Amino acid sequence: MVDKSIKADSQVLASEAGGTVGDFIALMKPRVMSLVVFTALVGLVVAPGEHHPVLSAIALIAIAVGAGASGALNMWYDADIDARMARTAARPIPRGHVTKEEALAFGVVLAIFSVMTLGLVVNWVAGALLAITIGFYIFIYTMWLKRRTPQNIVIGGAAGAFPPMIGWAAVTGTVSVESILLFLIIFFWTPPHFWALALYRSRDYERVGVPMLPVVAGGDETRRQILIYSALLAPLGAAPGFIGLGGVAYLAASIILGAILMALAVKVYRVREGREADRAAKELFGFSLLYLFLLFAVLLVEHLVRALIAG
Amino acid sequence: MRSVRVADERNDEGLERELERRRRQRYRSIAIALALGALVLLFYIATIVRLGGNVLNRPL
Repeated sequence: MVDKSIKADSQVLASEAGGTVGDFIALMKPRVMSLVVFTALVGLVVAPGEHHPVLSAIALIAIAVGAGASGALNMWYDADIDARMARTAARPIPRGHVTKEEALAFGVVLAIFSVMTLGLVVNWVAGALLAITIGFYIFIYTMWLKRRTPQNIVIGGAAGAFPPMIGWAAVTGTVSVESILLFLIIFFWTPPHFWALALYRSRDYERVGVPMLPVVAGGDETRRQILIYSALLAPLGAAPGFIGLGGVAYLAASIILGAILMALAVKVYRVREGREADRAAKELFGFSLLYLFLLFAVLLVEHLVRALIAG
Repeated sequence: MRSVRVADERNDEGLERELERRRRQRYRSIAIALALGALVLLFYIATIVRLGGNVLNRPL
């Protein structure tokens, strides 16, 4: 009883006092930002040509802030459903720490600053790609697709796939086959990753009316789609090894990682009942994160080693 | 007597909230100032890097 009243008091206090600096950092989805920065860094490092380290650092900061802007604007628009989902109920807006208007203003300011900085300091191809990424995530994914179609994360996943392309464009000033390939790897990685999560979180999505694939088409169809996308992703993941973007180490790693991913996707497809089914989905979800991280990490290390050897 | 005590408690609560609001406002203001300072520094460094050696290559 006492705990409840203390909790209620602290919530009233929080909403009246406004958000802390930490609340505004949470609006930027720091964990998503870290993945965005990492994949953008890989794009920067593997791109051909010279780039001043200071300009590279500024490009990464701008990309990170752009990703943060997307997170804040997403939380502004989705505040109503965030409050009703266990995974998102503790975000700053549902907790009453930050108002929707503050999140909107924060997101818009960050978006403008990040795009302008990247455009002015680095180049306008990278700046335009960052603007497209933010716009795609907010207008196409969050506002249009997320609540309307089970293909929401397939198309919306493009927003998360842009960062290595932005990193590449920051160095070269262009979009090329190699950067499109990096884009495609993340694009095809997104559906099995999020559908694995949605398989064991489907009740949450169902309750708030978000038409995730398991909610609309059922678990069986989701498992089939996960298998299809994983089968497309595994060879695509190895493709940089065949076009010269990745070396032997990358090729070997991508084949091994792709095989593990496929094995886990097959397990999800086969095990459909009870706790084992949930466990299989959780395993795939967890490994998919590791898969993308390792794939890009090997590519990064390989290029850094090559650069060191070349002097 | 009791009503005076209740009023005092309410005043204390109000004061506490006001202090907390001011404290958070101060931290937010400091964070904004630091962010703007960082942005100024960032553009200054970017300008120097962009100019590079050309900064000396001008008619005197």
